[in-house]
Amino acid sequence: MSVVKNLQREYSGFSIDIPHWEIADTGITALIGPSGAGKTTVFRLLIGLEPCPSLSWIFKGEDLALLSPPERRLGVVFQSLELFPHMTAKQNILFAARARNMSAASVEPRLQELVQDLRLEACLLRQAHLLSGGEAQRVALARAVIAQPRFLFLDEPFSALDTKLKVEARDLVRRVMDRLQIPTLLITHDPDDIRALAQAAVEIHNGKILGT
Amino acid sequence: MVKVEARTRITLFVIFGVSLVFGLLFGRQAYISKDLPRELYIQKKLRVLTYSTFASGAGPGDQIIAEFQKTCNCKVEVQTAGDAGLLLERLRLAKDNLPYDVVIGLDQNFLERARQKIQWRELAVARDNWVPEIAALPVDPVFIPFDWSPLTFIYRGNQAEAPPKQLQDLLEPRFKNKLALQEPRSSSPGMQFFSWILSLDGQNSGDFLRALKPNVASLSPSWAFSYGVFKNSQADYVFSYITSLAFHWGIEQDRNYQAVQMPEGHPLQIEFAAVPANCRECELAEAFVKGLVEPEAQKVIMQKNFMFPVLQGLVEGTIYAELPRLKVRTTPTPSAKDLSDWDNVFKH
Amino acid sequence: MTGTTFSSTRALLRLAIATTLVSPYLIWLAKISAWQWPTLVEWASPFANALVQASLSAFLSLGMGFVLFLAAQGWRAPRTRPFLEILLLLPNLVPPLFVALGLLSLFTPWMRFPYGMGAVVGAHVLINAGLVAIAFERLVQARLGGVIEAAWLLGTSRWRFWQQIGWPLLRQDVLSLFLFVFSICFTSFTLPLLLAGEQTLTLEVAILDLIRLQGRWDVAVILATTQTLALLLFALLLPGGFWPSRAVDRTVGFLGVAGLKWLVVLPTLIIFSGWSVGIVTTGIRHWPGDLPLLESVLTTLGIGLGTGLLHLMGFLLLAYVLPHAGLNRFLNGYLAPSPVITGFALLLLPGESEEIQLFKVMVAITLISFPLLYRWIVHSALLSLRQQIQTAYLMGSSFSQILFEIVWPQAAPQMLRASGLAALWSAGDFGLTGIVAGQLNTLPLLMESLINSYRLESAQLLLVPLLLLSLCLYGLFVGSIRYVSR
Repeated sequence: MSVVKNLQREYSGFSIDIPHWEIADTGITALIGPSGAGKTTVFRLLIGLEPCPSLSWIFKGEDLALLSPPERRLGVVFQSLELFPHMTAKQNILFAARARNMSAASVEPRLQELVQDLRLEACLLRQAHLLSGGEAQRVALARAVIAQPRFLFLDEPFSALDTKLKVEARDLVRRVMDRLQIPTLLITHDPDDIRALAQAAVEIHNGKILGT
Repeated sequence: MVKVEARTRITLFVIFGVSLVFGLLFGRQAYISKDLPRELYIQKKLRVLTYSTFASGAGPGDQIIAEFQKTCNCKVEVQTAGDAGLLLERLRLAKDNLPYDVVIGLDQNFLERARQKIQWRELAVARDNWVPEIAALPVDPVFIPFDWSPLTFIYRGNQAEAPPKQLQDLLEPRFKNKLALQEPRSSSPGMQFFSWILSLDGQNSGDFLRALKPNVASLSPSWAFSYGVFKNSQADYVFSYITSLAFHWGIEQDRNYQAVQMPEGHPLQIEFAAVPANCRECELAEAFVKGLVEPEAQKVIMQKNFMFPVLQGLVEGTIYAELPRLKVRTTPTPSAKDLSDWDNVFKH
Repeated sequence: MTGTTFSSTRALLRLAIATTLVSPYLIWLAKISAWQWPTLVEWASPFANALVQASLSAFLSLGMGFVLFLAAQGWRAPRTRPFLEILLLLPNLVPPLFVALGLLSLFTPWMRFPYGMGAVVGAHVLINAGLVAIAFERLVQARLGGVIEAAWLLGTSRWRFWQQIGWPLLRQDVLSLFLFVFSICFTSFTLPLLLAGEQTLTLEVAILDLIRLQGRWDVAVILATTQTLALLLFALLLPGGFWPSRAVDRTVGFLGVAGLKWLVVLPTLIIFSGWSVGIVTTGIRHWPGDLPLLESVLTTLGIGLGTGLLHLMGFLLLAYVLPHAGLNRFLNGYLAPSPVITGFALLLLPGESEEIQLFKVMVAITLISFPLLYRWIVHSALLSLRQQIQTAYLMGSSFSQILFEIVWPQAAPQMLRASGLAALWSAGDFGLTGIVAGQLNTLPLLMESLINSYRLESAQLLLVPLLLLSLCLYGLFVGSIRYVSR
């Protein structure tokens, strides 16, 4: 278990107040809640995109909250994916590897696995702004995990896909996650996501964790 | 295809650009210094402050300085400030940190302020060979005149019917929208014109200006613009130096340009050089100012600044000898109150 | 390097950038010991006049720019595009004295020239409308490209299109364009001096008068501050600029009004209306033999290129330290004090060798044009990359990786175009060069000294190499977009 403490922040008219929260350090944990419940805020606070001085997040004996966001070595798939539009799919993925000083050669085997698992063969050399919704979503996932992050965040990863694509995408994600074994926090409002992927689920409401 | 990374490309571009800038500047430097004597290595530095059109391009500065450097075993460093008005400000702000050795280009209108704000060194310059107009000035050991010209209206003979015979004629309706004048606050000829009017009838100058106003086609902030207005035929008469004729008659070979001669006498513009008291190379500075009123430099000034020399005997045989000799008169420097009278007429 | 040192380096750099930009103010704060407030007369009337003048100028420039845009679209053949752009830019490059004389010669045969607000506004419209037209074309292509095609297919009338689609979609951008032109006209100097006649139509002119006639730097600096604050206020109220990264090849041609198409030459025609064969022959006949022409060309090129590169490096540096809300807000509203104050502030700094003075000229021009060009052209490009930068940051990317792999490839077109404009402006600069290093021989200063020695026609001839050179500089930067940002 990783332990999050004092995840607390006041906003005008809204607050996040999570004094203690244990997140599994294996498998996929879902954070579920209606819109406006504070899911995305929790996600941004944990990643470190917004300051939270009181926070401590003990992960395998280390307090991640003391580290700067890049040093936390997290993989993130944003809801908006944020692929780099001027690069190809492959360049996007390798960009993340180079960011961690991993050479293209050293990540090649891993890249091949991901390409196979996520069925990226056909779109690998295409510019990111030309990818379809499903492809872009898979490329974003590959980019998030290529450098072996210690923890993965998925923020509403399937929300932009239609029903048929969603089913397919969940399948692929599960396949990859089973193989990679990266502990993951999945932020979603869709119960189907939880059924298909998550080993545990936590509900958030008005900035407070309700229970697991 | 060899893939060149963005990083490499921009670095190349910036390196290329920067080396191009340096190349240009070095090329320029090599071009400028090609005619400097070689022995100019370790030498004294004379710092000259002047207005920019004296120093650059078609102005007389370059040639005068080059001549001086041939004999002084020194390097002349020229600094400028926009126009004569800003000159004094630059001098004042420099104070003792980095004083200038010579200041070139103050005219009568700035002398009083120059005297108040800056301490100057007295210079021993021979005055025995000066032209009568300049020799007649009260002796001033500080500000040394190096060129001069009376001011009047210049016109094209074939265009204008009977030119004005006296100042009062300027008020006649036949000159409606025919005159190009300058703003006294921002232009020295403008100040001279105003002081001319004041000198004739200080009491009633306001009435005179009010009557003159309809005849003014253009009131320009600078002499250059008003002369452009005149040259482009947007005014028939421009208030300018009589020596303007030296350009038209001598260089353009066009005798059509004429000058109005008034029996009342004309204002006189004189340009001065001086040495601030906090100079560092004071001997050199004095030598430079003396050089400015020697025949070689005076000839350059005649050719490039189109002004009369202060030395006698130089105009003979040149176009300057053919210019009409205008009667001159002393004119007062307008006070702040006078200037606000001017504003009352022209700014309302 | 760890993330923390990164952020502290960046914080320091941010501080350095802001300090550099406000340095003219800081230098004067240190220099002036006694302050005196301007009297209401010194302040209020020039300020009010400047407001009215700049608003009218900007409003009419936008109107005329829009008409020129419609006219330019009347030219369908793609190979006319570069010529159109040059034609539209030309009036912006001609030194003010010639713009003023050109304008004067329009009236001369018939009437006394109407000096005053109208003349100044007219001149501002003349020189800025082309630039606005170019901006309009880019905006319409990027913002309306697709809609235009749809509207065209639906058979929408032009009027209905602009009223119901064009204006609502472009409103924000038009406001920001307004602010850009407003800033230029608000701080315009030479034209108001030449054409305003009896009124003081900008604070710049009031400032110069105060300094030159009375040496009252304290009051001048306060007036300049008022000007900066006023623009800061407007900048906060109005939206930021938007300059699309590349020309989108959309059919906007059908918006063109073929009947207006010859209008694109109007501003250039007016400005060059005083030209004749006579001028050319006179100019050549009275050409002084010993002009330092080569030196002037080299120096002018050096200043243009150097200023362009300073801008480029500035933009790169900004890309490195942004996104940062505070700095961004500052850059979006800040305007450097007037040329005399900025120029003299740099003169107060040590270093008077020719090389340093050349550098000071480039810095002075950069201090003045950098915030303006950033706001208008570069800002939106960097803003749109904010999310991508954040994503890359989370991945642990070094900032140089972010800069060279994300920011540069996507924002280079805007950065290079803005730098190109800076290069083009600086090559034609009279005022600042005259103040900071008037002894240099540059083409504009050479023109000035020719004018002062009666050789107006020769000076006019020098305009030709100056324009060519400015356009080459602009072309170099804009042309390299293709190479550098592939």
